[in-house]
Amino acid sequence: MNIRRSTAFALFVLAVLGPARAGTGKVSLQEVLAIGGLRDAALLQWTGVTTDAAGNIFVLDALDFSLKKFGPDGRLLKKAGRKGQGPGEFMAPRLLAGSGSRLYATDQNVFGIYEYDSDLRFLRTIPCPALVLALRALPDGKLAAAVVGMPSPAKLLVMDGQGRLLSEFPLSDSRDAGLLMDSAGFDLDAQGQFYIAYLFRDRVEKRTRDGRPLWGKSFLGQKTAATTSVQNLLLPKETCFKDVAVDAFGHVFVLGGKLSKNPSRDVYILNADGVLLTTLTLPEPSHCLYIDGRNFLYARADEGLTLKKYRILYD
Amino acid sequence: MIELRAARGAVLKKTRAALLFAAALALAPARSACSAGGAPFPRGGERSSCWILVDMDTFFCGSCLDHLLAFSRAMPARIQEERVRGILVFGGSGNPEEARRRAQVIRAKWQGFSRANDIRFTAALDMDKAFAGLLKAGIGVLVFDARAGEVRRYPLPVPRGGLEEILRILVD
Repeated sequence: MNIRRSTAFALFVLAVLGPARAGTGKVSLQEVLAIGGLRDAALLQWTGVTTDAAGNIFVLDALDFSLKKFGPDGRLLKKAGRKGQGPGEFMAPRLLAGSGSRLYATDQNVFGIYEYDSDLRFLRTIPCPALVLALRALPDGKLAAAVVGMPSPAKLLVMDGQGRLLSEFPLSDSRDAGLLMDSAGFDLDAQGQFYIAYLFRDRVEKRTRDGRPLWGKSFLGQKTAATTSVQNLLLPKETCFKDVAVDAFGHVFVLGGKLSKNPSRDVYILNADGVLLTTLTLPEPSHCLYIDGRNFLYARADEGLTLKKYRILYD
Repeated sequence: MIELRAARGAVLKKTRAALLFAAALALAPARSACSAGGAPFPRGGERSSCWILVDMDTFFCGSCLDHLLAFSRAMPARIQEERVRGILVFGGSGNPEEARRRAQVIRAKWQGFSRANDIRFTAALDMDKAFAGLLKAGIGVLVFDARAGEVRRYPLPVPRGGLEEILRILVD
């Protein structure tokens, strides 16, 4: 009788928890599209990527100083930009974000965010008080940016479409963290809460919209990034984490850096509470991760000559 | 007999003079015969040239690109095509398959980059890491000065006045 009851209880638990656990086991990737490659000069060294609702793929390329638009099939539709410091020109294109029909791009050493329409027409430069390390465009037209803090700690800013500061919070609770040590990438979930992965510290955090810490975790055995001296400045030279992206189910994908077992390939997949669910290893090293609204993951291949789009498969 | 010897001596003198003249013509530098006369190294037809060492492992760094583009834009297209060669230096594992793949990536990247930025000089892959030590020592440009019979080295970015100096050597 007890055995029957136990079995029935076990089946009940499985029936109830089964669907909830689906998607938290093994995660794998299925390549669905590759843009660029060794015999195709479509991309040379892509840096930032975003997509629109129609499935178009927008990419910044650092070696020809351009912003490129590819169709859902990977065909190059348009290219804009060149080397320079004028409107629509780049010196070192880096980050790209999109929302609705707007694209937002950064140039590494420029205090501002370039705004484009989806036909790659340059619209204007949105002012930003510091250099941008990570950028997300929010569905309501706001922009969130992690900015360099020198000498103050790095900050996460939320701005309106005109660049007016709406809120901000520091990314580090210590002013002695060291130069660039509080640099971070971030993404937001559907509730607007932040997931922050530090570039040079073994720390991933979740924070509320106003920056209140919800949890903070280490996944690399609390390793510390080695430093190097550059013109008498002590700078970190090894990355702990490179990027973070939230999928359609609220899973948090954190891309490990040089200190992970497979440098720039290991992806730590967490639930919303910061529990490590599983890890996944990208086929090739990547500098960033991007997950679009249809739950496709984008990563680098061939050292930036190729952009790969993957379907995320959950066991 | 004496006349015969004198005649033969005259012929020999003329022949020797002709040979010396021909040798002088052959050995003289193309444009700088007068100014380089007597220098031991310059040879006829030799022209100054320049190798630029490109560290493909840090190629992506914004300022590295700037230095490289500043160099190429300072050189007229014809000088780039005729006198400048790039050496693409890159690291990698000892695995032959990975090394071959990396070489393909580097080649594709350079071809695209040079086409996109109107770089006119051709480049070769440093397959055996022959130039890695020079790069590590901070040497970015080697200039073969045919007129002076000298090799000069410059870091990249080339210091103030250096680009003009290199250009002068290559144009002379």
